[in-house]
Amino acid sequence: MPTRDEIKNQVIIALSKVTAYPDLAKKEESGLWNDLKIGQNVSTMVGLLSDIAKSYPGGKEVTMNDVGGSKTVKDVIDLVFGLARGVTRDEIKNQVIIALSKVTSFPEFAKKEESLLYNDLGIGPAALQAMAGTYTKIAKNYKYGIEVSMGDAGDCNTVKDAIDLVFDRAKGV
Amino acid sequence: MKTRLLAILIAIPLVIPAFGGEPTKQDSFIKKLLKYLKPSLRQSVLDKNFIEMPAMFQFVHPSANNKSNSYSIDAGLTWKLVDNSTWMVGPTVEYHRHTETSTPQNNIQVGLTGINILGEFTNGFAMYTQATIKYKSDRIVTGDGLLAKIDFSPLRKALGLGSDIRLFGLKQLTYRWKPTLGFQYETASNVLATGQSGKVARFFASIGLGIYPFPESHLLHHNLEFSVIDSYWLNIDRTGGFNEYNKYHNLFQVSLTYYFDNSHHFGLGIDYFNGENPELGLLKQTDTMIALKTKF
Repeated sequence: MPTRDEIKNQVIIALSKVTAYPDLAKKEESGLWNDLKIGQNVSTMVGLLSDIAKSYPGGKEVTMNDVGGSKTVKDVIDLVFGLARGVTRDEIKNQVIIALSKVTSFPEFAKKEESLLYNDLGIGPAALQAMAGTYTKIAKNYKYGIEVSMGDAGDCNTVKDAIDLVFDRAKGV
Repeated sequence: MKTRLLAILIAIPLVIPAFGGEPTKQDSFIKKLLKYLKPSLRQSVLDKNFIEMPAMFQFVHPSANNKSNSYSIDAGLTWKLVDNSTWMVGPTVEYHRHTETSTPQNNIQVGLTGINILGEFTNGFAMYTQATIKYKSDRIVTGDGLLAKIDFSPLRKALGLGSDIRLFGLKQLTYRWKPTLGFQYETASNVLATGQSGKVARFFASIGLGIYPFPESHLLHHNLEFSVIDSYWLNIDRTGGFNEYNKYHNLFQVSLTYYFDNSHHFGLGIDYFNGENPELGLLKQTDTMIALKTKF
């Protein structure tokens, strides 16, 4: 099973090959476009990252679209880590939005990651905890997926929190 | 009827830097412990679901020189030791104290509470069950004893059970409600300071309604909460000192709270209540309070 540290080391090596600033590639907070100035080497980077993810059983290909949403080295590590474990955030996001839309009178807010589950979607504390069952079903559909606890489900404040929580559990984190 | 005015928030018993998530290597020991135990602070462990009652802290300083200061604390802390997708179990501590002589309340309760959710809410229906067993030490109403209770509350979005629906189809008004049925068993060593011990079995029924005006407003969206809760206790079997206690108990609460933050950690509210609460050792009274509120 790929660990995040394993993936991190490989991603840093890959990024170092496509940037003129390899020292910055070692810092998770470095910006992919501003600091590393990946620029025209982006397709080479995607190929290298894809090779890392696909080298694990069940690992998925990294696409240009996946990388487009990444702003920092940390984002790239998390992306490749997820794909190496067979999960993409977008897949999880779609499923979480569908689940939340079923339990709110304000489904339009469920589509916005910054929406507040209690304030915008009007989902009460017990119902937020009760989402743990559905979140667990989503997470366990993936090879390394693990259970989502009622406490963690109840602590989610935003749609983004819920997506990130299920994404982590689907990766087995 | 008596009206008390808020003076100051006297204490927040703990500062909780982070909830949820797995402890990391960088976290301090205290932070790791808090993340592991996941404490939560409310008015009582018994109202953790649906329409949550925040913990309240009051200090009253009367303007008349011949009257003494008084304070009031209503708080319950719960930790989560077992926490998975269907069960949550943990120890709990509650403290309820009113020092004003006409409406005294003084008890501490320590025990274990467990929550189970049966069914899948996203599929239409789930049952929220909470069972609690506590040692209760009450210096005014019951003495020392055991309180065991189990409550059942349904969750169904289409009916406004668990998440909000629009009131009368109005866009600017939503509501959520909470019916609860339960059963309780309590033992006591000194009922109403008569020196008699006793046991009582009760049915419990409660209905709570939360109304949220202007849910789509960025300023008010769910930060303004109007709630009404009516609770009944019917003593079905009583022995000893409980025979001298009322056969029925009723507590009617109306509350208007504005939360300053979207996470609802801090709020200011006005609460009216009329009646008694045998679980919390609250004797029959009518009160209106303005208080700072907190929940974590």
